[in-house]
Amino acid sequence: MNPWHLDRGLLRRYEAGHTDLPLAGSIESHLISCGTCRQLAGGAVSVERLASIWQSIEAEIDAPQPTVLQRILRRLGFTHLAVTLVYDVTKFSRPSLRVLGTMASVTLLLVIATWMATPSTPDGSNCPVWIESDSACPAGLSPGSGPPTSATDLPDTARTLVDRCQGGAGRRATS
Amino acid sequence: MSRGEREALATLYARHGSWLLLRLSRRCSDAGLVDEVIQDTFLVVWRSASRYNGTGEVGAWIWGIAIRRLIDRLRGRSPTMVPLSEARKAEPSAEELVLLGVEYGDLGGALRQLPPELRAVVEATILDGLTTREAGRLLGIPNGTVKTRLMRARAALREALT
Repeated sequence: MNPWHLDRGLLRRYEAGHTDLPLAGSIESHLISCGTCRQLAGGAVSVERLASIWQSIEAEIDAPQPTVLQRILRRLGFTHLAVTLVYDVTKFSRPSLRVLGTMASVTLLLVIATWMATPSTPDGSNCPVWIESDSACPAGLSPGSGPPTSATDLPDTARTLVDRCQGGAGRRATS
Repeated sequence: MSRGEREALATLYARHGSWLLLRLSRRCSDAGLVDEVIQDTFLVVWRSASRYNGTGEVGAWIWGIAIRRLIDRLRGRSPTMVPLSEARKAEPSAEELVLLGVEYGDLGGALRQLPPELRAVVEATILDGLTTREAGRLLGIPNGTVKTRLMRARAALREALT
């Protein structure tokens, strides 16, 4: 089918940028459709480098995946803590808890958004009341600052939020 | 995420990882960034494999993802070229440019004679299949400059081919 194939010399010239536009373009479109030449290209790349990239891909696949909502929230500048909380509460196994969890996280995000929009005061008095007991509040909620809260203690925080959602505003902790 | 799916991705990576690395390295000299783009690309492939409609070459689909991931990664970095204050004119069509070559013959020879900045624009829009906006991000020049350069490339090719 393909009368023309790459050889090692041509591949080296392409790699070094010594092929002009028409030739480079021909090589690139040929590589897309020709398995034999793709194998040849495989020999031109460091095996260690390819293996290391593959390891990163696998590590990323095995890591918990952010949901679409989480990705949007990250883009909007919400912190690791806020986004992880959303992840935790929307993963509850019981549907009723999931609904409550989602409601709680929406409320939480609104509060955080308000908090982020409010100019901070030296005594931290704008810190939301529901999280006063959490000493990590000011650092953990500032965009891009502070270490991420460890994943292990997040479910409890999330559950507390759900409890508060169920119990209403009257049960807010005052520290 | 079954074991079979993981193996399928590994096979896809074995087939397409190396040429993708070579081709991206021709677009970006930062090896670390190229590695990250390849990682991003196969993660997108992994997560959106169901969106691949099964027609056309898998390699072309993967390249479309990779070049856009590269552009995303390059966004926010300082442009590599200083924008020129060139007048914005009507957008030339990439297809028109190709048809012009097919109709009149020696496109390869004419492309070789293009000045480097025009060649880069032709490469990004025609060979990489980018829009003028995406090409601008890749090359670090404004969208309007890409359009102007494409138009100049078309004029130069027409001159060379007739």
